[in-house]
Amino acid sequence: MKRKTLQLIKQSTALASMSAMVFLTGVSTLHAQDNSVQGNIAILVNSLDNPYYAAEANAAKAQAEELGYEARVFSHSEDVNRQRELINSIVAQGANGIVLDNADSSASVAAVRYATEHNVPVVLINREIPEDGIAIAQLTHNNVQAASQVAEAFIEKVGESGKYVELTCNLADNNCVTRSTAYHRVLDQYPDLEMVARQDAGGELLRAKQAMDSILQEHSDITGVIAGNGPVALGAIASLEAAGITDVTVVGIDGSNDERDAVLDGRLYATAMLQAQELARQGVNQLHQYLETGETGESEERQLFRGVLITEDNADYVNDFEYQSN
Amino acid sequence: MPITSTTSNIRVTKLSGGSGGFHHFHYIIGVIRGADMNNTSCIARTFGLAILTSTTLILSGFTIVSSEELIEIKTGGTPPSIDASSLLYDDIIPWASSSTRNVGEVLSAIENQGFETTCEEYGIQKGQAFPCTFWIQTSGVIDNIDTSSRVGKITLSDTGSGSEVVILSGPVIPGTALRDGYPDIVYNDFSNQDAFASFSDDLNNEVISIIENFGEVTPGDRISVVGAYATWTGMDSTIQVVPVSLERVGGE
Amino acid sequence: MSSVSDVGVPDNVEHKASLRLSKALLLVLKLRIFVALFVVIAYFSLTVNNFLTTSNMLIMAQHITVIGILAVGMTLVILTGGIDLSVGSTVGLSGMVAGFLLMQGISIGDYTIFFNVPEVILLTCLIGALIGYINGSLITYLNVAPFIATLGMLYVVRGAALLMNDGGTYSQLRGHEALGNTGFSLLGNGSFLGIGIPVWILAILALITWLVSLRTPFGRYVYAIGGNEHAAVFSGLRVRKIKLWVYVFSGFCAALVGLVVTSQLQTGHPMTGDTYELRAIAAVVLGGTALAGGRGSVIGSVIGACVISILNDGMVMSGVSNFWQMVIMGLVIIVAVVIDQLQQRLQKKVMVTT
Repeated sequence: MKRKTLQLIKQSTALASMSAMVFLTGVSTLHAQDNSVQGNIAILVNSLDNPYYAAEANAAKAQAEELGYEARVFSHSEDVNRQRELINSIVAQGANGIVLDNADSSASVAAVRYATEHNVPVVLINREIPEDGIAIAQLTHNNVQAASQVAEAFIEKVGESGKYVELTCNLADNNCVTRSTAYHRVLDQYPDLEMVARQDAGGELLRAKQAMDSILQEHSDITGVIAGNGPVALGAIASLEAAGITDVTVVGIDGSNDERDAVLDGRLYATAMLQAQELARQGVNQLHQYLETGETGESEERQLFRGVLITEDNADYVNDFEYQSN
Repeated sequence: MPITSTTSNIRVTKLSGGSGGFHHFHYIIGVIRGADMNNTSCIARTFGLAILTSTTLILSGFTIVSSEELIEIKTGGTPPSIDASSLLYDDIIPWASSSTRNVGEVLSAIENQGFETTCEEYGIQKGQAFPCTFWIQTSGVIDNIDTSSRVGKITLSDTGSGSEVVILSGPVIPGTALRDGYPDIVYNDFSNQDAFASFSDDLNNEVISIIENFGEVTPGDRISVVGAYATWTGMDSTIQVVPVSLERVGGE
Repeated sequence: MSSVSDVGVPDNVEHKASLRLSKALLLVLKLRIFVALFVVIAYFSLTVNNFLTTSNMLIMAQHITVIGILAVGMTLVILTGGIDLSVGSTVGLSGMVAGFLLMQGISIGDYTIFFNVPEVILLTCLIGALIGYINGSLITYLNVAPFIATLGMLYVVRGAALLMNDGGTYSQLRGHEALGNTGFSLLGNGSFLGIGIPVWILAILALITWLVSLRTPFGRYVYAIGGNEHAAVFSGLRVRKIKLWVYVFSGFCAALVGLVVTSQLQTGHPMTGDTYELRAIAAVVLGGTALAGGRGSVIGSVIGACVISILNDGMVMSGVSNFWQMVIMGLVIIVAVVIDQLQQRLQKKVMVTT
């Protein structure tokens, strides 16, 4: 009996140590050798299970590696504290530069400043911070232009009167607020166009579908839905399809492959494709330029990138947030 | 197992044999028998007193301000924002009037030399994110006044350019042509995209007053216009112009 | 010395040898959290550049404080057999409260009151303690199960944090000279004798809590309640009051963390602290505290927080993908609990045959 217990304990300990060894070995093999010519760039984005951020991260990594850097991708999952901790570790690890899609605008200022003070230049992509002079460049999508064009397309289809619903993305994100404001800047100029409901769908597909379900119960005579981002638009479409409604116009912004497919199917009227890949590539290029010459090569810190209006005519050109017009 | 009970001390008798659950019961009895509640409340009282004194000391330092003082403190040092109206009349319109080209000239240049070359030569493009804005002037006969949509359009024909020119007459003026067409307005000067867009709205609203002040127009009138034409491709079927200056041309 | 012995155990050499081995193994298992810490540090110092540099150690120490302080408060709660799932949300709310007080002040009519930084810290800690008090009241007076009560508060408090500024943040916490509220960043970024202030806060808090848990009646009562709550009740312990205080303390610790993080970020962000409660619980479990209560130590929890945090930082510095990091962290927790069970069985065996 004692021998058996002892044996059990021995086996368990052995198993535990073996598993530990296996995983630690696995971890160490993932630690690439630092043979790069140029240096080390860290790419820090939001959750990688979102195709937008995955597209950004992959494009940045590919571009960095093409320029001869070793590139590592990290995710802060929209947690500002985790972002700060990651930047601390990245700087301690000796990175030469950071490409950052930050977790929140004002809360990220301290973290970007920390990196800059430790001689690690930071290029911000997609989301800005409210202070200039800290990051070497801030590349963002022209959300206002994209939203305005989408709203104008919406009006062309829906007409200048009628009832519509707005489902926003996560209003804690500045970009989302910008889009919503831009939509209203256009839509509110038409007094016969009435917004009967506005819900914060958090930028998520399921939440948008559920919100739309509830709204449809109360307002069955709407003619259009304007969505703050891609997943929300797709959620609204799912809800309308489940209810068997086919004559409601839905528009959104983002331009993922799922939205492209919905546009080609005729379920989504229009969207604006944000040039995630181009943004990430340019970010890496400017970082590289700065590391080589001390300047990014651009006269302005904050630079805008155009969102491309996507309708049935040009949806074919969209692939992974890249507009391939040739 | 001796368990002593005193009134001023806690005597805890540690039982041998480790801390299996079986022994907890005895452990607790030992604790309770010897426990003295006064001890706990004494500690609690001193602790509370310490907190109270430190609180009073700290709380003596707060500040009360009136709302006017507050506004002054908070906004001290904010740069004054650019005024759309004065910028339009003092800077943009004079500049535009001196840099305009005839619309026909621009269109044929696009056809002959290509859009990009024409844009570099004749137009303003602030970057890849912006369309190319041409400042054009033309005169023609009003063919049609369309106010069915809130995006009002006054169509001019016989402009000598071979194309119809549409003057955007409001009350809704789409686009950001005025802002994008003036070289000294850059995004970096604004705190965020919203402020940048609001500024364009302010400029466009000034245009609406310019149009209102111009007065009534009827089809058949001949007018000349200076305005901004923003385009991504140069291949638009209609030339949509945001006017900054309108004049009636005397009839033949 | 009691002499309860197992009937029929042969008193031979083989038995003695296996007993010695068991005792040795038991010792290793009891100290396993220190062993784990050593292994983790040793491994990463060998495989990662710049791991053992002073600057990196200081940074890692700062990272430990967030989960460490939460773990200290959580230990006492778990020792009583309860759990506090609302600490993460309390971190977020306290950050927002601090931001609100520094940026907006309290408006009464035409006047606004701005508190200085120590007052803001005090008030925020009071808010945290208040949330803990609500938790404790729900659990002790309304007899709601701790899991449910604190789960409900998790949502209520998080919602409150988001409502405070309609989902927005309070930025610009630098304060104004004229308002007398400058200096907030010192809390998170300042240092004393070269070591960051948050680290000092963790060290002092952990020390005091450890001493309280082992050397004062209150500490004894906490262990007693966790060990056998019925016995504690029948023995005349003021179980309700003790449990209440334990949750108040946990809320207070969460408020401290909220202050530290907000001070470092210079922004009050409503989603700060999301899922931190789970990390705190992991640290506590790793450190040897049983979820059922009655067994464990504060120092163990702090070491557990160190292991989790260093493992996390080490994996980041090694370039391990985010998704693998999650898997590894989960496995570490599971292995820790399995080893804990082994220790318990071994302990019983050794005890019985002594």
